[in-house]
Amino acid sequence: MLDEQLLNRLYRYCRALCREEADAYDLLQSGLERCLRRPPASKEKLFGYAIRIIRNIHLDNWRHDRIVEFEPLEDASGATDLDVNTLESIVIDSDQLDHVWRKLTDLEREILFLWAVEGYTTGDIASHIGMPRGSILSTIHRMRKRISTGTDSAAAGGLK
Amino acid sequence: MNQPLKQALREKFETIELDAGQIRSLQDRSGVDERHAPRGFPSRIATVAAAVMISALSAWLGWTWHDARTTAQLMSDITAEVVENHLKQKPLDVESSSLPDVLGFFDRLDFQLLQSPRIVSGAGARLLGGRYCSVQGISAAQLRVRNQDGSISTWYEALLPPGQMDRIPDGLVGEPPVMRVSRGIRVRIWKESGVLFVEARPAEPIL
Repeated sequence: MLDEQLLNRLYRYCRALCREEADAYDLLQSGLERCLRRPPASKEKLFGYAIRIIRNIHLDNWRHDRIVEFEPLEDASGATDLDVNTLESIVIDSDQLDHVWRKLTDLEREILFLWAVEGYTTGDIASHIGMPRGSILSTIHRMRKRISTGTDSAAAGGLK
Repeated sequence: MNQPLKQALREKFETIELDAGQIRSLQDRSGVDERHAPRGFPSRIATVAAAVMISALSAWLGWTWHDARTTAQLMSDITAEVVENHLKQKPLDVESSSLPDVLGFFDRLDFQLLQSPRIVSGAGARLLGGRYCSVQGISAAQLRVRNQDGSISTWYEALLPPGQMDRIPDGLVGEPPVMRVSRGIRVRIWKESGVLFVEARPAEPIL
């Protein structure tokens, strides 16, 4: 039921959520354990089902550890560039990506992962996360600014 | 090398993989855990089939229990009524020791009275006559017989509704009569050729 490709897809999702590699593996184990306790009807639905469970566990861990990351609100109302295409135009190298990746919130990293690696649309992401699509677009808008700022500062700091 | 963000992210995550030991460990765990819950199509079918079988069994047991209770209640009702008739010993409508004559008297019944070989079969028994009575609220014939020891037996023939007649043991196919004892009277209940027969006589002391 759990082939290598599926396990790696799930692990990458966990790595997007967690900053630490060990935390990601623990999260994957917990998610799989809960997923197999009550698996979906078909194998095709397993990935979507599993990442929903993994996300819930991750949120529970957040609440338990009281390290909930709050989203800044200042840009939400004034966002004008609300389109996932705003991310398409960003050009970055791997060092800059690693630099800004560490500065992104869990939600931002999750959105980026689902968009870039899993090919989710903003509607898919909103459905998975359980947030209005407008909120996702606002987050993307804020994220773009942070990534742009991060790449600028990284470049200024000597990172190529 | 600069590249679009999406491409950079894909390449970043392509390098992230579980090692062989982790994959084996997760697959082993999932194999063990599968016994807890995986419910594929066949197991769901089995669950549904089991539920249907349990429901059917429960319904059958319930019906059987209800049927047995209904049959027992019918026998008790017949016994109580026949014992009452037997003990009252009301005056006979016809007095004769000839069974054909007595049976011929009952012309208001909607079934043919039968000459069961069991009636007046005891040595020294003598037919006294008969009278109309009721069994389960339905008109019936009562025959009265004096036994050799001087005791009185009463015999009843009646036609009950099909739902009740079906519960009466059929003497013609070898089913033994139902026997009950109430108020010192032994009652035997059976049917022959679709007609209910009941015999009531004093119960014999065991000691």
